[in-house]
Amino acid sequence: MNLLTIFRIELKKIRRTHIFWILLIPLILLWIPAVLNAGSSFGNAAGLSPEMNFFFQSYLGMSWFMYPASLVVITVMLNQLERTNQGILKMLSLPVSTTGLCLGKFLVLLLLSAIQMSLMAVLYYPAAAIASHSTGYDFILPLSTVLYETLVIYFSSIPMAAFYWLIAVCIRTSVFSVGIGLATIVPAVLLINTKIWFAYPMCYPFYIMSQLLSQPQAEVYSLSIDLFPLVPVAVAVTLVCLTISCLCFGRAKRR
Amino acid sequence: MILALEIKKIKRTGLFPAFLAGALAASAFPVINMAFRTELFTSQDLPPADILLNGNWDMIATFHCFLAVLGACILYHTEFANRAIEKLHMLPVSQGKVFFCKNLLLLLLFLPVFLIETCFLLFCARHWFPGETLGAEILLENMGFSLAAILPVLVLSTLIASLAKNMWISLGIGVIGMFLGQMTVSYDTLFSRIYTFCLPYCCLTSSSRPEDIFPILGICAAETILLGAIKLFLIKIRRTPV
Repeated sequence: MNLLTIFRIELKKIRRTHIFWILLIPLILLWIPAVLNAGSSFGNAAGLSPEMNFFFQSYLGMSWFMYPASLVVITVMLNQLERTNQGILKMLSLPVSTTGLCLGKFLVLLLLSAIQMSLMAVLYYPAAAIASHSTGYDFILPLSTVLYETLVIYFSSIPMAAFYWLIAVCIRTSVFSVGIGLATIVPAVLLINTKIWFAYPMCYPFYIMSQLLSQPQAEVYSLSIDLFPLVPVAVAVTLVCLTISCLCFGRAKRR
Repeated sequence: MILALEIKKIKRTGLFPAFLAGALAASAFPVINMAFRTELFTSQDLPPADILLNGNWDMIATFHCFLAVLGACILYHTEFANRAIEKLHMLPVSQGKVFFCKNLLLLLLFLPVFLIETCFLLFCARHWFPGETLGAEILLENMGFSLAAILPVLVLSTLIASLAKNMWISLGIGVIGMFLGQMTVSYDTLFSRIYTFCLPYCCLTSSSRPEDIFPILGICAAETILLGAIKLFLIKIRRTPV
């Protein structure tokens, strides 16, 4: 069985989990206060234009808290689906490589987070349209800008997703796997201000967003981030996490 | 008796070490903050306890909300995991009593958490503000106040956890609720003053007056009673055991 087949089967499993609503509701809740407080986007000390301010306020909240927390919730779902009714035992007894099974589940995690980010971008347009209608100022940014920021957050979050997947696979006691996942979100606020931020995958999206916030609007496509320590470290973290999680997948049941 | 049974049930879930670790993580926060940004904090002209609480309480409160949501999810997940809840409902035990015992257990678990944090805050005050009054009584009063403020959060998250069979749904709803609280807590609206997940972000400093504090305590008590009543009502009307 190749990876694509396993991925398709995994997608069938999540059909009735209601995970879509868990991903959608926070986005709606995020844009409602933004639309209601659209007037406050005009006063900005950093010299950001109102439409960029409106856009960034919500994206910052998303990349700091809700997006990592959603990743943790999805890993809980992927794990619990197999735990109930001992599905993991049946999976491991099939003539399918465990690496494939593990990577198939990780692909589902990536897909669901991609769905959440694209919904975020899609919901931006009605929110901006309502805000411009009520304040009489054009809040709508060009599609390329929105797409660019969304893709930047998404790709910078892949190491984080790999790390959460590693925790979810290797730590079987659910209170610890969820607890570590949620507890690692909080220090990101402190670590983006230090020099070693690139060593902590949980703060990549938040760091990049806050960097984009501080540069002028005209240069929105040129990231003023040193790619040198970031890219090798991020790739290494992703590969190490995925390798260990593939090795550990189902280990407790295989003994 | 039910409380004793509940304590037995959590023995192998790792809830107690998790709360301990959460308390240590939350208390490490002010220490790290003080160690790296000493200038910023020591230069302020306020009592040490106030500086520490103003600077760190937001993060500590976030940890408290995480712990409350997580603890509630685990407590009910152990019941749902192997359909223990169906057996529980066969027993001559009132479901409401089980619910409130779980809340009481969580509250008891929070007691050492607050104690550890207060000790660490006292340590920070001693170490970085030598020669000034420590403000131990303020920190102790704040501890009592935060115990009251965490109560509605506990009841709400236990209520959510008891309604959904799958842990990701209850955890997801809890996290969304927390996120909403975190997002709105800085706004000056009625919603951010009464919303359950905003309450733990209030803290008691030496400058807060009784007329500010008592309304918050009233809101906490009212919400706790209201959410408890909702649970009792749901037990009455829902056919599937919750």
